Amino acid sequence: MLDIFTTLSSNLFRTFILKKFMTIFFTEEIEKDINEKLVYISFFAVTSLIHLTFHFPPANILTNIFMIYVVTQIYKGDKKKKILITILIYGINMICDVFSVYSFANYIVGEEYSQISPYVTVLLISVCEFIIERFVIKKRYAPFTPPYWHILILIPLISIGILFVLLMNNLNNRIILISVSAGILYINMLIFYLYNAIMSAYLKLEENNLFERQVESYANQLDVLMLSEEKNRALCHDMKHHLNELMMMATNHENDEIIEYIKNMQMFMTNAKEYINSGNKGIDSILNYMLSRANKNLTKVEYKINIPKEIKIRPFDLNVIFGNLLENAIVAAENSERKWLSLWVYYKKGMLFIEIKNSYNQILKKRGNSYLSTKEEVGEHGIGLQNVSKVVSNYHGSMQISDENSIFDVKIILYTTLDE
Amino acid sequence: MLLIGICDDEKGTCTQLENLLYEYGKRHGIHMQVNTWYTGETLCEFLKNGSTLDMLFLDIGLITTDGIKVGSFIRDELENMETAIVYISSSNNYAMRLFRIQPLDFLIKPIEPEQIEDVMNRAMKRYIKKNQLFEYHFRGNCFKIPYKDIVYFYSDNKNINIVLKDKKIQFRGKLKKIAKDVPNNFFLIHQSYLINSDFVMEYSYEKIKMQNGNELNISQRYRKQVKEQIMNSEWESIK
Repeated sequence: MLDIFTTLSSNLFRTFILKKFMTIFFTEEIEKDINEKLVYISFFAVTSLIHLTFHFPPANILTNIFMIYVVTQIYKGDKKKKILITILIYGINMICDVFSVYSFANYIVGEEYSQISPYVTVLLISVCEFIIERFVIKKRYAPFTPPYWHILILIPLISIGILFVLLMNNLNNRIILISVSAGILYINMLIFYLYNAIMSAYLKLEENNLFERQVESYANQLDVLMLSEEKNRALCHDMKHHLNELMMMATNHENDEIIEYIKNMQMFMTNAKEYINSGNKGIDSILNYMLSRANKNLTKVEYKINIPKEIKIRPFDLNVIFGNLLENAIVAAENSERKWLSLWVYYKKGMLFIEIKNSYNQILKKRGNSYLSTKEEVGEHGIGLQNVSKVVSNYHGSMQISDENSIFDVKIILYTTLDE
Repeated sequence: MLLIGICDDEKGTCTQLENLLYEYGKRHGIHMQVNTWYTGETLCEFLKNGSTLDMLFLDIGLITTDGIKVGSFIRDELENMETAIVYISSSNNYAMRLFRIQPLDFLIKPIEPEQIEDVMNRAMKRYIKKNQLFEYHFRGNCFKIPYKDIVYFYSDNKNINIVLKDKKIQFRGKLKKIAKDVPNNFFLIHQSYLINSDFVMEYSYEKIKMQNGNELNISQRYRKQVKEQIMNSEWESIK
């Protein structure tokens, strides 16, 4: 009777700690139609039941791992990340359990153990959770899987394995078991630290790419402006000569020659690097830069941009949206047969409408709700797109992605009237 | 009969545009009449006398009364939201004031036949949609009003009020029921407000500014839905 009470009450606490653990690693968004409470209650019920009926570690280990994985399903995220987090959390769980059980007595598999130890276990886990939450994991919002996750996962896996072997062989040496589990606990806590370090290094890298692109696009815009300026100056300088020439042709009624001459002057005036001149520096810079890259690599580039120059969107945000989306679109289109890109930006009634379409070839990888680019670099999958959706939600906007007939189509709307 | 106006101080552009439009009409079997003005003043004079146009191609850079002034005259002084205005210019550098006039599109010189095909297709879609009628019953009689004249519906108790540009009509009915049958440019922004998005001046996430200066709040429950409707309906009208 006392046994049932201890198990249920300590397991209840453990369920609460599990919930706290989850919020460290996953943003709170819950995928639709799944009831959060129901999942946690079933975690509690199933693990308690198995524990009480079998009193057998392998059964406990398997059900716990399985149920933690079930709990991760209510959060948004990659499958790999969910597996990693499940193993990490269970690792801490098991190590704390072994440590506290042997702190009180020698435990023989299948037999009774001290009634206090489950509470000590829970207490230990919650201390670990507290330390991780407060001092270790700082980048909570990062929704992606860390690179090298398969190496990270090895350490908790091996730890679970070692403890399992020690436990099942009924090694009756408390000192060894306590010191081994304490050491393993320490190593596993370091893994959380490593997890955080990899995540932040990766985010830094991403940020750097962003800044690099912004600098490049400004440099490009400067080139564009200087070229325009230069052309204007040259034309003005020769204007007298051009007028003389035209006058002479006109007096001789050489109509065809006049048309030809004017056409040449027009051609001289147009700046091939200037695709758009909306007067909005932020938009002009990033679009001239991305469109010139598109034109270099693709066969057909269509664009239409109808926006006022006073539009209120931060250049940094424009860079995230257009830089990432056009980058992905250009790379995908380059690998397709048509090599086609269409960009369409329109302002209407305080809102910005953006549509980017491109032809693509490779089988598009789609996981859950986040689309992935076809780039193969480690960890680069879909992060650009996740940044875009973060910016879009800052403007209360929304994004629709579809792919049909080998055309990838991203539609975005943004509210631009946030400050007023 | 589709009445189209062109206002540009470059005669060459006017003639070219006129020819392209008539060609479009012939291809699609649309009966149209195209009139040309070379200055903003003469066009405003024409409109002031009560004449209307279904569509207007308007140069931004007219010398004395420029395209923005003509546009504001049509929208603000004549309170005419129906004429589809297409701006013509030689660069894609536009001021915010131009967007307040809610042009159907911008054309950049030199004008290509494909541009006309595209913009006319959209104008025709809009034109056909505008002439749908709303039906309601009052004291046993059936009445009809064109949807294009309705600014918004609002309900109080068991009555529904239709707000038009210059008057208000009241009858008995349920707003939720009406909301199901209206064209997709009508948005339910509140349980008792159903607005015509053609009369919207500016959207923000929490509220909507109407052409006449009224501000209407979007209630929390409807914000997501309104955003989706903007995505669908406004997108359709500009593409």
